[in-house]
Amino acid sequence: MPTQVRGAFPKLLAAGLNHIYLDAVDTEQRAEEFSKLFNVETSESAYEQDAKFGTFGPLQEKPENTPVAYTNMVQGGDKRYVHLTYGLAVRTSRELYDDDKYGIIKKAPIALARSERYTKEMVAMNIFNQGFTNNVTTVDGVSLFNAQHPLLGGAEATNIGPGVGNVIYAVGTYPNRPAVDVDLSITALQLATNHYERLIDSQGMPITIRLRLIVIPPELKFIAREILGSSGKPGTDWNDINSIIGEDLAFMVSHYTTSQGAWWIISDKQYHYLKVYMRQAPKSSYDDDFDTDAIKQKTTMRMSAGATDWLGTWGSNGP
Amino acid sequence: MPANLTVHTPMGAVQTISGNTPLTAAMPELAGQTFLLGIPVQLSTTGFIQRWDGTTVAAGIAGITLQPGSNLNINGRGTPGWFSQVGPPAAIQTYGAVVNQPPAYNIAVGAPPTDGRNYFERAVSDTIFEGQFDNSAGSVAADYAPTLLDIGKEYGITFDANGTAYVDKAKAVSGTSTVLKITGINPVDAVQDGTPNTWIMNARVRFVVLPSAQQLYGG
Repeated sequence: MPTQVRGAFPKLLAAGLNHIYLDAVDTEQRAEEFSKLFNVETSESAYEQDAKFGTFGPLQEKPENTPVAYTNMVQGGDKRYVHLTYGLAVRTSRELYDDDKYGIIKKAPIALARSERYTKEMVAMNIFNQGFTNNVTTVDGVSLFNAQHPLLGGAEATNIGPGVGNVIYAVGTYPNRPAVDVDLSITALQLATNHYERLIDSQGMPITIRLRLIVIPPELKFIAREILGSSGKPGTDWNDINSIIGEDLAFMVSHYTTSQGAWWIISDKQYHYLKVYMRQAPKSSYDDDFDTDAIKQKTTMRMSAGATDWLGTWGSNGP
Repeated sequence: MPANLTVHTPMGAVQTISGNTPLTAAMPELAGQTFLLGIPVQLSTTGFIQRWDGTTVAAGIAGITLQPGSNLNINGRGTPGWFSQVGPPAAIQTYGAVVNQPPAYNIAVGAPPTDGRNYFERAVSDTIFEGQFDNSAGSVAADYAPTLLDIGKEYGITFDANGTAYVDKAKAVSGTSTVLKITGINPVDAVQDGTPNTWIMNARVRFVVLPSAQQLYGG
């Protein structure tokens, strides 16, 4: 294993430096973002598992003196969150640890904490980044952001849902992504809004979930500000009002997005199923190596992230 | 002239020369692997972990597995990517189908999880493994019991009919059939009559995988 020794850090051995610039101390890390997007829960198991059940369709007319029809609940699929362990350690010779005139080496725990915060953000945000692929699936077995989420109620569900045919791309499915990915625009926001205005449960009956927060990469910040902040219709010289303002949307820049064009909208946390499980909170520890007296410092944590259901989310991957 | 036993105790690390924890690895598993825990495994030609083929002695053994094969239907299925998640489906066993949702999975509560990887103790010169001694060409009791004379000798490994593996005294042609060197014999497996330096048939012997047989670290 690598070890930090004095030969690699001779500048720390003599007094006289005015200021030592240390990443983990002199630059400020961004405030935590993932907890604003995900429902953060704890776990005491190797994994957590969620299952979905669909209930019933609408009542059916019962002609006079005829028997009532019977129906069943529907058992849906499972979503399992298997926690992974993340860790990093540093080993420093006792001589370097003691001879460091500036206390830089002793700040390793601060630097490890920074690594831990980044890892948490990245693990969580990759649910968005990779949510357009089968790396991130929900109980229905397809990608989190998908133009055709199969409904437990099947084709009957989209037939029952009033006007659902106006917004879906395939019978028996419901979208939380456009059929062809689109850039962030007022038209695209209207499309997402329409999808959620027509939103149905797994059996086709309208439900209400309001999209609230647009999650964007930094590159889309100015466009988002124009769309949500303009009093008139954005991008036009018409006198129309900015109709999207009435949707009470806000935006949040995520600094852990990997695409410059992908963007998402989510509901308030209680209405979506984006989850982060902290199986073990970040834990730092250190020990001496008996033979060498070297100092070993370590940070580990266990966590998982995912989406049980697509409800309360909407996304477009660019294009 | 078969081996004395038809099933053998799983092999596994018991000591390290350095005193450190045995070096463990997790690598994506080849589809269709149903091997038992405690047997030698190797990297396939496509880079996935599979049961050791039993014949490749030159750089043939990656390590001794800590868990059974998961019988994955796709190579490495479920292995997490870059800061990514396990799965889907994240469990070895799924069953049935979900109404109107063909891609969805039913996972029985308690079904063993899988992350698409196999965990094994790497075959490195620092790690001392232990496995049962046997002889695929044995005929008399003495053929199956290790003695002091076996310590320091090179032998091979053979799979029995039940898929477990043993140290095979019959494979003793260095460079042709040998993959390990005996470093000791489990003292608990000495005969109970108090005779010193005498071990029972199929006693557990300790060994290191020969550098020439180590797939990942040898040479």
